[in-house]
Amino acid sequence: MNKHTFNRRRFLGLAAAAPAGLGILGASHKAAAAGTQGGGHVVIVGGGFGGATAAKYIRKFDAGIKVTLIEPGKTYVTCPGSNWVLAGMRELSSLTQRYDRLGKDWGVEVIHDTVTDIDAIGKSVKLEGGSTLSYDRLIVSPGIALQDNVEGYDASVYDKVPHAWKAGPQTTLLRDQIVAMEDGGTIIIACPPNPFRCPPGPPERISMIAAYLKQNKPRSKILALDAKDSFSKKGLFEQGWEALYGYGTENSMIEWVPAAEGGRVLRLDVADMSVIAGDFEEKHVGQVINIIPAQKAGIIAQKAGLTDDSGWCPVNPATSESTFHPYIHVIGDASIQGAMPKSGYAANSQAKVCAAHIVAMLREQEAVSPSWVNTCYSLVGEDYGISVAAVYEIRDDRIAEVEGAGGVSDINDLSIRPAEATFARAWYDSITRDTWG
Amino acid sequence: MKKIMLSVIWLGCWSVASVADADEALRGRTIGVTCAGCHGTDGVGSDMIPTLKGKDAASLEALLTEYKAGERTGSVMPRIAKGYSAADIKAVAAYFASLQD
Repeated sequence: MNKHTFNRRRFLGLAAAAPAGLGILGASHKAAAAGTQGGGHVVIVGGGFGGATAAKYIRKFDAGIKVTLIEPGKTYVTCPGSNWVLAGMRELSSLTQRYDRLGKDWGVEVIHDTVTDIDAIGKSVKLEGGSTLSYDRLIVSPGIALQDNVEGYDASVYDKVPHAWKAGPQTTLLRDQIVAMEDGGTIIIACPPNPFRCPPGPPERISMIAAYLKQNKPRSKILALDAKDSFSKKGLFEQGWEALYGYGTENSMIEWVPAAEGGRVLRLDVADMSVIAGDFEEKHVGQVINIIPAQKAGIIAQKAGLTDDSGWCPVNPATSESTFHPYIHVIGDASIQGAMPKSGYAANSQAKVCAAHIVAMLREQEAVSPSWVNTCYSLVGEDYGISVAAVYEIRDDRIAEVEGAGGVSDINDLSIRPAEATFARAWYDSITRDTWG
Repeated sequence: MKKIMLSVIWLGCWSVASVADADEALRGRTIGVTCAGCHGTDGVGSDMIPTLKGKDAASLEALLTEYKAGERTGSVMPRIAKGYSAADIKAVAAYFASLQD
């Protein structure tokens, strides 16, 4: 096919997609405005930031494509914002998203069930409920699976020692334990090795627990034991900890121990609420212990043979199509996406690139040249916010940051911190509405 | 015959221009949807984050160009705008301007 024909087809396709009142007669949802071209059936596994965004945007780009989203939960509690719950700054209910608008407004078929098997050759998925669905394209967005990398820490003790790294009852449990603790206690937080969901999540958690303690239990301490020697936005977090929580002084509320100084947690003893950490196997006792374990791609991705030796899913950078199985795309935390972090915003952005690509494939049009963004805000205190942002492109067959752009908040300009705390909350409202609304 | 030739040339130009417009529109949408994480679906913002939907293309382009040049302060926008070429900025400004209720 020559280039000219390609471009003409692309032009025609886009013209049909323009919102010009070309909607299907009788259709009431927003997706009708997008017009129809492609046809075909896309099945999406997982209704988090990646899966829900992909479902909505495929229908937004082309309402002629049938989209089925399979997600076991009737609601979804977001990890973003869940650290704010620990500080008492937000209720968990306000972080709870629903799926009804994806159905009503965008015409997505939502099935609350669990995918037990993916047949990559036969292009179908099997559900726990018994049915089998065939697909033209499959998107797998299963998030993370927690690993048993700390001896003595597995699912059997999650009710005593929460991970709170999947938001919901675990968040409430950790919050309740912190509230029940007597003043003067120590809260141990074990931070995970790379790569993991939400790089700024552990230091934000440290910050939010410190904010609660400062107000309510000022003689208490946080001991953060890290499997790494650094963390996301470190300079900005430490600057905030110095300003708010006495970090670096004798009375610091926060002690952070890098791996090189004995921070790596090896074992947990639930009976005496202690952990053993570092090469010298030092014992630390805590009144509350929060272990954030190592992570891998969600179980269904492992089961379907989408993961490599690292435990994550390698994909084509432009299309998110699995390098192992054609017609299956993996997005979000489970996938390996070059320089992009494992974040809700990144998953949302990857979902849109993947959606545009799948629409183009189903219409037999030329693939769209991709572009991605990540933006994450973190709270250090109630009125103290910081951010990181980047724009991404494909360079040398890999997703890379656009050079000269992106980066973290200016460390020398403290005047922006209160505004960024407000932006953090507005960011939450926008990204969740863009994903589930 | 001359008339027919002219028509053919004219049609050819029209087609090239349309393809360029379509490419720009697609580039604008590709970038525009990445903004929606903060600025909302179709650029309808929340609280302090401004709405971009239906805004004047020239004003949006000027604003983004100022962010890119470091002539305007802000939260993430000075950092993000530096990630785009002048053509990208023009395309995304046209995209948001084209969105109407």
